Amino acid sequence: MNLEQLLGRLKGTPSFMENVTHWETIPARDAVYEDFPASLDARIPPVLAARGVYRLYSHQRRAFDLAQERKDICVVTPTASGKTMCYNLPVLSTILREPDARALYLFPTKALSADQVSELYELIEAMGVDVKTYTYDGDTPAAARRQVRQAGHIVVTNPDMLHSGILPHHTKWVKLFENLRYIVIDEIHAYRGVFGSNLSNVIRRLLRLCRFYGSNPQFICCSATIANPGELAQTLIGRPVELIDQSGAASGEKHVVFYNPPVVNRQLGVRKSVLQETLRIAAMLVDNDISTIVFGKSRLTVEVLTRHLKERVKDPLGNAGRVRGYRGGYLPTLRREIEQGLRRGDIRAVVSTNALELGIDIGQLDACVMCGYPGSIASTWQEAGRAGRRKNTSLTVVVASSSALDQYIVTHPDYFFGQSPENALVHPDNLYVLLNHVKCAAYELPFEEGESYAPGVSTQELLEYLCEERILHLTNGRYYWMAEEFPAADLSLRSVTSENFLIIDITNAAHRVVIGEMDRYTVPMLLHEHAIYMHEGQQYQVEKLDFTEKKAYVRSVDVDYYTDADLNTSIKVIDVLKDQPLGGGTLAYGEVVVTWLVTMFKKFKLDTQETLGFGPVDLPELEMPTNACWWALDDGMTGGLSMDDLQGGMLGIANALRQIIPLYLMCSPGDICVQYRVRDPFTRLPTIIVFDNYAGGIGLSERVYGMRNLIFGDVHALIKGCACEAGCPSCVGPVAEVGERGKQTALLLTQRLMAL
Amino acid sequence: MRSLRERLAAVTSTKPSAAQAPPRPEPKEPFFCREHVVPLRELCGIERTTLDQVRACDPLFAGGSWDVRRLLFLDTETTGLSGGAGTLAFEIGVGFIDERGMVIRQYVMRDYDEEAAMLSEIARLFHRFDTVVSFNGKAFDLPLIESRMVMNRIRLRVTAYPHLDLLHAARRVYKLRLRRCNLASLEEAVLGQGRDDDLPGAQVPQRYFDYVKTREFALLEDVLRHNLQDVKSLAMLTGHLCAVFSRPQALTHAEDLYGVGRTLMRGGRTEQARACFKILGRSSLSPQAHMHLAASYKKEREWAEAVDAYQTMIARGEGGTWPYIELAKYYEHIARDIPRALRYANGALALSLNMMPLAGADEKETALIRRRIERLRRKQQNMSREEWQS
Repeated sequence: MNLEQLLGRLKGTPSFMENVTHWETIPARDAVYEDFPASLDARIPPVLAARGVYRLYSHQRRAFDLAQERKDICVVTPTASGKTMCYNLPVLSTILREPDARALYLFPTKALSADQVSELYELIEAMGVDVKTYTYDGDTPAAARRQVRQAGHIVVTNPDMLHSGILPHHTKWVKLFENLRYIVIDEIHAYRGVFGSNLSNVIRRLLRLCRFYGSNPQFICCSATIANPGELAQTLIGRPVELIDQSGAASGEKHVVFYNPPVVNRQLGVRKSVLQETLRIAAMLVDNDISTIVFGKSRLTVEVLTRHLKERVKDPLGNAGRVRGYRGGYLPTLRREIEQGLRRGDIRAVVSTNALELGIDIGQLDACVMCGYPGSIASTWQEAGRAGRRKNTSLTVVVASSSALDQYIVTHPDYFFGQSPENALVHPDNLYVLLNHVKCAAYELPFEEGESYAPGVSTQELLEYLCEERILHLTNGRYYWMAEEFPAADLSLRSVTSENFLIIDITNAAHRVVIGEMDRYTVPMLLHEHAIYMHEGQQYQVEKLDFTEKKAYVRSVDVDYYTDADLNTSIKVIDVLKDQPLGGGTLAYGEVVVTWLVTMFKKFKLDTQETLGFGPVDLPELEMPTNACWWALDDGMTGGLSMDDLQGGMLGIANALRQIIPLYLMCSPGDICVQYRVRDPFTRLPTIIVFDNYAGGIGLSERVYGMRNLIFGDVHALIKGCACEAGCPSCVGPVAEVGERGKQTALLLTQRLMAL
Repeated sequence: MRSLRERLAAVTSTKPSAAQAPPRPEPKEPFFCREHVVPLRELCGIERTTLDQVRACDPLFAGGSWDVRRLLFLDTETTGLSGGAGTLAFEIGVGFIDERGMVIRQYVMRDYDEEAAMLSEIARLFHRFDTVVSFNGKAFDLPLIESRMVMNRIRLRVTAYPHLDLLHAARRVYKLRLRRCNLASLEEAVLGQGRDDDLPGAQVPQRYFDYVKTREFALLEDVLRHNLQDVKSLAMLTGHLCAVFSRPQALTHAEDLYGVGRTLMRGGRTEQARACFKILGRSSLSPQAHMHLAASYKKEREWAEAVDAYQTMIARGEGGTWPYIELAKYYEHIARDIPRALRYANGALALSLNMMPLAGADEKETALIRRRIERLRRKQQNMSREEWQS
């Protein structure tokens, strides 16, 4: 059966359809073409024609035209719409005409840059012109670096290398900085949260150096579909952009199906395993030889699904090469082999973690099955984009797990299809981030008195502070770097504080490897002794945490549980920055200091999330200044509720909020914390608090403040829509935690909060 | 709402220090400069050095001339070692030879705003001279000065100057004996002068930062003394190395002579190099020396001498199986004396098997020798068959 026939068959199968909560059909769209622009260098169209490209898609043409007008642009297009052409054409055309011109390409990861640049190489090769494109990253051999610095027309790198390898050594890159015409930032949706805040500052530093060398480059940014691509691009580059969000590429008919595994125990709210159901659907597709990608959220899921599917397809000789797994931790050569197999069509099904979510080219697939909701609307569309990359009909099935977020999504399709995808948030003026980058910038080039590093930031005060710390020295109107240290070395772009812990794998005693880093605020929760730590989908158990040496020693394990630390969190309000009265209390936003003490941890079974046991943790207390917003509820809101009921109700709301907020902010659940106090020492009232889980804050709780009480509407809908009787892990939490009346109280409170 | 400053203090949890830098007197000159003159007789004959000697010391020396009066000796003191745009040379010590002797000038920026003027002066100096002499300047001092010039909008490719980097030249000669080849240890072991209470290099940056804060020039005196000695040593070491290369036989340490021999060999000065290795034939480094000697004869196809050298090695038990195998190769391919080649190959095998319990089994080598023997045997059989047929 082909996919169309299969879809028809499924629609007529009651045992399948009764679990489908929504079936969305998105009609096919024809391509919109435009001619090659006259100002495009004449050497380019023939080589494109040789590849079957005789015209441009409308968005490619518009990108070229706006780039010619020296505009900064941001292109938002779905997968497989030829976005690399949006920047390669203007860049190549310029360099062909002005051989001194230079361009800088930034990709969030190394693998991605290798993939996207191969297309550029092919074009240059086919034209037989002297345009040198070099990748400059940690893997570039020392001997080749000189050549890259001197002669590279297009330098391809990542933000980390730009930050610590290029900017602090800018005097060796004179040719690049003097002639820089284009800065291309691809996959900008990857730069959210701390990473984005850091990138934004790296760009500020880059532009500051460009001014020193007298160049004024323009930006071409590309993004997948998110709610605020223009806003994100503007925050990242600090200048207004022209947004191109009308794709001219063709797309086939798309079917998006929400599938909720049937309930097997109504009282406890237990559903059939998401894994089993995903497997059943994937197997059906593979049996019909429909090329399929299956997304699992963890390594474990991926491996289990791969094993079962392989079992399913293996030939009499036991060969099952048509089904492959793909995830972080596979060696690059193996990954390349799988990518090629997918492009050629030899591999009919691939099971992947979200490693394949970003733009690695794997060609066209017909169907996509997600084992659990990926966590955000944007990620879901990214993953769904893997299916139906050309004009064919495609199918995406989202199989819900029993988590509250998944249940909310599949039972509220309007939310998913009605809502624009999430906002990507960046907060470049986070004080920690800012201070670190001002140090790097001062190292790179002395600040002049009166120079402004970023709009709205009192550069002067930061500089004076650094003078007092004896890092800078003011003389004759300039602030000079006066320290031995190399500031870029102490700052990792992917987390906020500099005091990182090293994670060391001691599985092989003779060959210890550093597998990662973690900032010190997260360490007590994820790296306490006996914790199960997940890295690249692999499970590790923490054997020893050396707090003074900042090292965690882990050993690879394979277990069916995860751990969660029990935190005693206290929050001290330092300053109220904004507040507004509510009908029954106050909503406020401000600066707080959070103090954490981890005293114990619990073990939970994967999948069912039941508690398996607990253990003690002995670690020092940690303090973190951050931003928070809080709702203080007075009698009007809580009237008539007993202390116990109030306790259960607020816990239930906090549990639900924790799952709902990431929906709105496109952050991972770990980026925010939700707490409640039946009687808060500061407000002296029952209070629900949301704070940014990053030192200095990254702007998440400020957004929550901005949403006022709207969010409680969704919390209410989530709890109300849940089929359980008095609470389950999918809504307010298990009955054992929130009490017999927890769910009921949470509903009552959210009802009242919504009404304000 | 709190001020940004209060928030900064809170997030970094260190208290802002109240101490203010004392007002500093307005300097009159654009930068500090102190001049010394060192009499030529203290400089190990620097004035007698020639281009030929320099090329012998440094086979890669790129200069086309060597005029002692157009040499710029240079050594800097810096605010760090990271080599990025935030590292400065706050002191630049230069030396040159004129009728008075060696003139050493030490330029110091008394504050950061004096850097541009100081670098302009250095740029002027570079125009007067055509060759740089330094210690590790290729990797450190000159790229740093060039980077600082870019920052101050002075375009001068100081790294493109012909450059004698004594670190590399001295290392080639003394590495085997001294292991550590920093300037201070070379001075002590080679020039015969130790330094008393020399300032450790690691303390230099902090000294400068303290000076900038306190304006107490005495803090820099140790740094300047240290740097003065460094610049002077550049000239002494140059004179010394040139003398060593023109009369290597005068060296008293076998290791040094070995280093000179290898450098000469690399520079294509075969005869001089062989002379060194011949002297070493009577020293503890005899096996290595003979090996170089034999390899050099082989390379030049001076077979009689080569065979002689191999046989000397065998007679003295030097070089393990190497001379046997080399002789086997020679008799097989050059002299075409298969039986003799076979004899040496068998000798190599016997030695290899004999050495096994001592040196640990080198199975790979033994296997190679066996293969060689088999091939030689085949050749021998073919030859005897041909002889018989004819």
